[in-house]
Amino acid sequence: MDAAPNFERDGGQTAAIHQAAEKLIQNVEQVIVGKREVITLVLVALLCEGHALMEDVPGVGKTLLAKAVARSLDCEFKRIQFTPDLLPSDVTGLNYFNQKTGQFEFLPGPIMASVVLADEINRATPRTQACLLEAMQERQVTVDSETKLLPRPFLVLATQNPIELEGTFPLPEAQLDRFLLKVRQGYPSAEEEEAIVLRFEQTNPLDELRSVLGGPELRELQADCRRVKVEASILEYIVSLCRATREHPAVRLGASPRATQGLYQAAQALAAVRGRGFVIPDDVKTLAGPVLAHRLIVSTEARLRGRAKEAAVEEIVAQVRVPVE
Amino acid sequence: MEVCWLAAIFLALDSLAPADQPPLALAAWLYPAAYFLFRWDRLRTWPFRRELAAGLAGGSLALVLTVKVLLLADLSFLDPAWPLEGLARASVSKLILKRLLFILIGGGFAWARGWILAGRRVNLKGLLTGFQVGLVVLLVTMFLASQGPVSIPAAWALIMAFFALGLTGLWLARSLEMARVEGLIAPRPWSVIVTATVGLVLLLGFLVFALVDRDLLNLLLQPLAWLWRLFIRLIDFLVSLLPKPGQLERLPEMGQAIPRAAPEEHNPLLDFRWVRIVAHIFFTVSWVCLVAGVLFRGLTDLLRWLRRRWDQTPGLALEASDYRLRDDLRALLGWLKGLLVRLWRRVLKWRRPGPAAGGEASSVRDVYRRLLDWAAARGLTRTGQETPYEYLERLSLALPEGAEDFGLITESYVRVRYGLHRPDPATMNLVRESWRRIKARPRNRSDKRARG
Repeated sequence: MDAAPNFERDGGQTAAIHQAAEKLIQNVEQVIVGKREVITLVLVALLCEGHALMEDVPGVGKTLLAKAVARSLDCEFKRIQFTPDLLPSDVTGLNYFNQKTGQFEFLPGPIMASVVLADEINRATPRTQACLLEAMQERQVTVDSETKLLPRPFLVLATQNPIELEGTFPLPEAQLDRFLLKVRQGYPSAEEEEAIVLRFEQTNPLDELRSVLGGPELRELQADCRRVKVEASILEYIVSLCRATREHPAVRLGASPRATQGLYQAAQALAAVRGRGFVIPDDVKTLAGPVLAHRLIVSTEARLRGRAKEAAVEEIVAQVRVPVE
Repeated sequence: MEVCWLAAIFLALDSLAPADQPPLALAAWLYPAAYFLFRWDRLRTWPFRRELAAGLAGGSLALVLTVKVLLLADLSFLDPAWPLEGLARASVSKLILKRLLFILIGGGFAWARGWILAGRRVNLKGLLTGFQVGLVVLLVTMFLASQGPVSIPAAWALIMAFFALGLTGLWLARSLEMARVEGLIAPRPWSVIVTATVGLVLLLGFLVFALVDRDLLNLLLQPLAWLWRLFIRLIDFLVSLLPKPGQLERLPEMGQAIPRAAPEEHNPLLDFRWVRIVAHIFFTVSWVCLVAGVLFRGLTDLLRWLRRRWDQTPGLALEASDYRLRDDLRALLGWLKGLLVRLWRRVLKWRRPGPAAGGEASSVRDVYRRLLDWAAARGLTRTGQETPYEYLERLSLALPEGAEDFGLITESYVRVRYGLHRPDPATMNLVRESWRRIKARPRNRSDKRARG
């Protein structure tokens, strides 16, 4: 992740973001062994007010990571276990008739929290998945024609398993586009696996985890991230990368303007996390895969050839010119 | 001229084929094949019907062979089922279907043009016709390319300008001569006519160069777009009638491990990158030869025309001359070469970084630019896709003695370039010292290793 050395920290707001990020990463690392890059990416999503989708095989610690991040934040946390019989009202909440008061009252659903863990999101029916669209993009839900604002900050951390296909409903493109990043944890190395076994031998470190970042503090950091400088040629580079996905022969549907916006904001956040007050091409290159790949639809031919979306993004990154002199 | 627009078509279509498959431009072999086949003396003495039958049968066979080699290279020739397999693949993938259609249409057209050209004598009329046909074909190709996944390169505008320039020049020269012969225009000094013609041709060429782009062509070719969509619908319907491929392999049951495909062995015979490179070189050389040929031919015609004017002008005595066009041409090319060399030197001078003029910030950028030139001279050219830090990593690996200095310059450059920082005098001194140390390094073995 840290391909570019941080030669000198920028003072002021960026330093505050860098310190807070280090504190949060170290806190999560008390539970998660290794995987600093993945934690950083989740943090980037958090700082951009975006949402993160974690996709990997069972047992690599997706849910644990999401819970550790949620615990590290002093915000309200709710978990939704997605199942095929889950209804939209189970997520958003519903109006019920209170016999004592004789009035309809709103019972908020688990979406009304700052950090929502949508576990195994692809197990819910498309109808239930769709109820997240409004919440994720507009940060509000509509129940019985009444719109209710969600708390800020609001972050959805969703997990899904790419192997089991039976009884799952793949997320539609509109839904995938609303996730700022898709991260894959991957298997730990042999040393890391040993460390995991030893760490969880006696107690569960998650139980002892304390919050290190409050909600209002996080809101301030999010606002500060927007002030990270993006030089004009870097913006052009971001736009060129996103436009190149629309012209790549192996891609049927390229990245949307929302993706361009996401890549821009994510690069700002990553630069701040790395302690810089400006974005460099390395930040954009690091984020191109996690931000763009899941939004692409590859052509039938490329799919038959077994070419992954990530490979297409890598090809594009290897083709687009970096703005240097 | 023929090869000119054929090359344009096939180069445009070439982007339809992925890098690991043979380039579609190879279908252009049908053009010389048809030309030389029908130039063959024995065939020329045949009656028309027999020649027609031979042309159609030969063309069909050549097209089928081209499709087999370019689209179904992985199937054995001895396997009698490959035509059906090809149809099945085309019915599954629209991209394969498009390639098949382009090979059939483009290859068939190339065959037909080669055949037609074999029966013609090359003269001014033929040149004019070739220009006109080429222009129409080029327009249609650009339109078709804009409808598909092919990206139109910027060189199209230049090609269009070249065609328009040539066509207008020939047409003007011919019309003026005819008008003078028929007494439609008043006799004027030849210098006025030549100046007017050249001025008009250049003006029109620049206008075309400036105006023609993809959007304008799309606007002009709207009716064709409608016909093209109709054609695609018809093709879609016909494709739906084709036999469908067999059932897909079943996924493994739940709980079973997904079988991994064995890694494909690399077969150098199926690596078509070198074929693509050779094809591109061939087409580039063809282009250059053609442009040179057209220039030569154009100059010859112009000089002959001037000679005739001189001869017909009463009272004008011509100085005796050997009239060696080759010498004139050589002198012209020599002058052009000198002009190009002067221009190139001027460009190099313009690109060379001068003394730091924009204060400290621009100095860091200058130093970095010089570092890039310095490293490039040692075989470590930065690729366009490398970020400064990626390049720094490569540079430091290749020349570890200077890693610290490279790092300092790169870091300062990144801050100035992307962070818009103004370095303080102390940093500037450090950067200058680092650059001095790098410059002072003698070329040694590690430089040679880096180049290798």
